[in-house]
Amino acid sequence: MPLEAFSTSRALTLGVELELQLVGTHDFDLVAAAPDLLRVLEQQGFVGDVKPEITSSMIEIATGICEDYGDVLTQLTALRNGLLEGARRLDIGICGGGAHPFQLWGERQITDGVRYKHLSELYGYLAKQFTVFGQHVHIGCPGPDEALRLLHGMSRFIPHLIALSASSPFVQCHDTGFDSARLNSIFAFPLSGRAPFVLTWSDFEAYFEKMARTGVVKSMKDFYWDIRPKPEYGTIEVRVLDTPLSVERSARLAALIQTIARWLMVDKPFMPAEDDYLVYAFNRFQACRFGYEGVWVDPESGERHVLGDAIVALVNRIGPHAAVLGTQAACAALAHDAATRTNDAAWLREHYGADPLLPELVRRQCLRWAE
Amino acid sequence: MAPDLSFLPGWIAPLDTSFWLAMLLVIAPLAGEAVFRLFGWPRIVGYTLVGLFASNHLDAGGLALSEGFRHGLEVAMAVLLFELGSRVHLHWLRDNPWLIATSLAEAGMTFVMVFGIGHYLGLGFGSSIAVGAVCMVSSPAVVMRVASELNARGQVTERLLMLSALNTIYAVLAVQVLLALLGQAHGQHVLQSLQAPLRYLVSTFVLALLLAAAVGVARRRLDLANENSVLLLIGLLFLALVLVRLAGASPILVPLLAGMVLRSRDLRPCLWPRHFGTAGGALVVLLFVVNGMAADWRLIVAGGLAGVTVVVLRAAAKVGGSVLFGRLSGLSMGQSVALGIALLPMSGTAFLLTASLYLAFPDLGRHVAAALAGAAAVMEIAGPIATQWALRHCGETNAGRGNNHAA
Repeated sequence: MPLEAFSTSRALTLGVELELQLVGTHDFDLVAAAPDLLRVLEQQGFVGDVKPEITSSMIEIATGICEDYGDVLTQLTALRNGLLEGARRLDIGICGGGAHPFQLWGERQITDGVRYKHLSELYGYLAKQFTVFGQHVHIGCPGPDEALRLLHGMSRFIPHLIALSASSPFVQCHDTGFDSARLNSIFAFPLSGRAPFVLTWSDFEAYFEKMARTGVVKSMKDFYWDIRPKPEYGTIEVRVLDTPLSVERSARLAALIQTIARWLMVDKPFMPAEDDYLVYAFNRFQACRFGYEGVWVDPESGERHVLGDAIVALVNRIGPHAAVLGTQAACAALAHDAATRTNDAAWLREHYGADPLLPELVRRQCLRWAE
Repeated sequence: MAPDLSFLPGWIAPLDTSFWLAMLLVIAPLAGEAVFRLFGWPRIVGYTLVGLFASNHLDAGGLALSEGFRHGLEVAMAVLLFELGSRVHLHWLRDNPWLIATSLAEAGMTFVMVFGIGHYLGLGFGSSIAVGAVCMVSSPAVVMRVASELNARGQVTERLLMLSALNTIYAVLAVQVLLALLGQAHGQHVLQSLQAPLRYLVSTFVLALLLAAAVGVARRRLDLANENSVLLLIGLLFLALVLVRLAGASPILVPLLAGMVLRSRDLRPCLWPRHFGTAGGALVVLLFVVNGMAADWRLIVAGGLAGVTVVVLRAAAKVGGSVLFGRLSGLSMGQSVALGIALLPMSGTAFLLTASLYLAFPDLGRHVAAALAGAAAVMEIAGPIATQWALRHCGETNAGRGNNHAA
């Protein structure tokens, strides 16, 4: 399958996809309820994009094309309310969070379907360990070259986004010490990581053709990059975010990404370079492991910053663009979180500290997502 | 009659009930494992078969009747009922009223069908009502045990537990109504005939609330996943059963309602080891052995056509009732049928219910027992297999999950 042509989309429109956890209300472990939920949603006339995911205790919702932060929040809230109505009929819980804190991967069921069966055969247990939950944000790009330039500009701020969204400290019954342990599951895949440094679509097509000729990939879907172009939609897709514990935070993160994108597109504050990626894996690890307290090395100057402070600085710098897009409040709230070092991982650790029973923690996650 | 043991050397002669208890505890797990490995059936089928065999070929009956032993079994039953109750989420009924419709349909249709058969077979009005009420019950002990043995999770499992709890409650209430009616028929005044059932219900609710409160306090202070704390739960259940006997309350409803109250009142998940750990587990094994003893092969034959008719029509009613509102309640057709099949077990509670009838009205109890015994004996073996099949079929068991492993 050749690489499809890059569709045009209106610059800076945005779309959000959320992968969510389905849990039983008795023990709050994951439950393979996706087929039941999809059936019930269809019965209740649910309007919106909802899909099964690789294991049947996950479900994915997606907004349509949104204009701004308010639009994202409205759409996500409507999707959430519809999902919760279906979930109540089935007595199941739905929650955010990048990973389920005590599920055992060996008990997961791979969803029926040719693609999922293929992935499961190819990746073995990794496919089941892929029961992790992320938020993807699409940003509309006026053209393919602009998309690649935006992608490589945005890469620099991946650690910022990881620390702000991190919500997976607990995995397989233990505190991993990471703020986002979810990304460790994704790094295990051979085609994860960063996109190749090419800035024109013709170079990207050449790269894709070479990869396709080796038989390693068949479509863009086979790349599990942190940010990847989505030619079908005419967008770039930021994929590093853990699913936050509330739709409000999901919408705020989308707003921040939109604001960074506008700054990069309009001001062109720096020229992306291959050398930006020298510190990429280091910065990303620091963000996953230590969250706001991680070290962020500025790829241009080589200066070391505390990530939380770097986030505050970033939000200040893009302020004028937030004013244009109407995302000031959302960005300010995130900057405040960074300054006070609060994120969902901290929330989870705090609640677990108050009542050290993981099923109870998941119950509180469900309440939080329904708020 | 004691078994003829004269061939044994004199020094083992004083074989007492503890010998039979030990033998059962050796043989039952072996039989459970055997039916599991040979046929893939639930292990409790093995326990029940051992009981059936023991009652027909050995006189271990003395064991079943000894008082301490019987109390132990009541605790086992209470453990299962309490576990079941604590899985029932009453808020769900509010969020999905079609579940109430499903419950009323499957229990109501079963009652009407079996009542009809009773009437047709010439049982009296009272006896027919009693048979109908008893047949409504989807043995909570079997259902809970099979679901937990299979580690089943999913829509069919959760609904199975809910419906089993509800139809158990209906049956106990129906029997109380029947007792009041019979009291009036025997010339009691209305108030007089209502007195006993009311006292029964009030004491049952009070004891259930007390038990729920006691367990609620315990779980706030102690980690109930811990083996020591779990023994406290068994102790509380035992104590509650002693009070049940003193107050003349329902040994079925007290633990069941206590579990339900606990779950509804405090939403913090309550998780304890299955059957409250090893001690509870051993009691549960013996419970099913003794259930098997209470049945009798000869009754299956004697029950003959009537027994088969009850089994078949009851199955039709359970499946029909589940299918009727299945779609509206959010199930697929396949899941609705499976739910009906999973609801088939009848046993343990059925006997307890008939026992309470029997105590009050000996004549009535005998008729009911004769009409039911055949059906009950068949379902002792077939019920758990049906439930297991249904849960597997819907992919809600560990083994079902295993089949889906593509990698």
